[in-house]
Amino acid sequence: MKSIPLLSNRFKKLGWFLLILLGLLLVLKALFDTDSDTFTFHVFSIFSSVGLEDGRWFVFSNQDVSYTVLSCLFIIGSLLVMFSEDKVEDEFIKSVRMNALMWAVLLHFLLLILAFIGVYGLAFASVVIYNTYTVLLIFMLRYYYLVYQNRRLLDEK
Amino acid sequence: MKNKVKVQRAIRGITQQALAEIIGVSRQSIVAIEKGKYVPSTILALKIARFFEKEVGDVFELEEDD
Repeated sequence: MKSIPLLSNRFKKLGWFLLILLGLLLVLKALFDTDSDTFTFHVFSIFSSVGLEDGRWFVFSNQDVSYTVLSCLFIIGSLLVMFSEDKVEDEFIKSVRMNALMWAVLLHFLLLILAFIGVYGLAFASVVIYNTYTVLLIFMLRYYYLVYQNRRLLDEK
Repeated sequence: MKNKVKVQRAIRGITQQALAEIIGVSRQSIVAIEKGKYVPSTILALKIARFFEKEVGDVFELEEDD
């Protein structure tokens, strides 16, 4: 079975730049969220609803796209970090990447189960939205933890 | 799985970095293999054994719980 091709290592730096910048902006937006027309545009949506109205399919409507743009760029940055080759890409790093992916998926769904059991009402929607980022974040934490652990072995020699 | 990569490397007087470059992997991989933290693929095990001019079974050994 052939392995999935990864992006060149050059994309990792761009990925980190996007991830860190957009991550900070997302946190700031979550903390100081203010309604603003600055980022409200007439956009096409596959499905949208306003308040308690029934949703509508394939329509143009005025939407605040700030969160959309920030989230998409954050996810793109994370994916660039996750799926770019390491400086020296070999089977050991591939196994580390696979291990980190498994941890990320497993913990993501365990957290989701916790959310189902412990969170209700509108808060549930917020928690589920934030939980979508856990796959990305847990992957990176686990991946770089394993790489750091192994680098310590290099020093022990 | 146990291995004698470190022993063979010492016999040859070659560093981890040099071995890694010859085999075509990172030094991290060689360190992880020597410490028993990583079991190499068949191809990598064959490359390492070929470099040391040994049979794979002379460099890598199954343990009881493998």
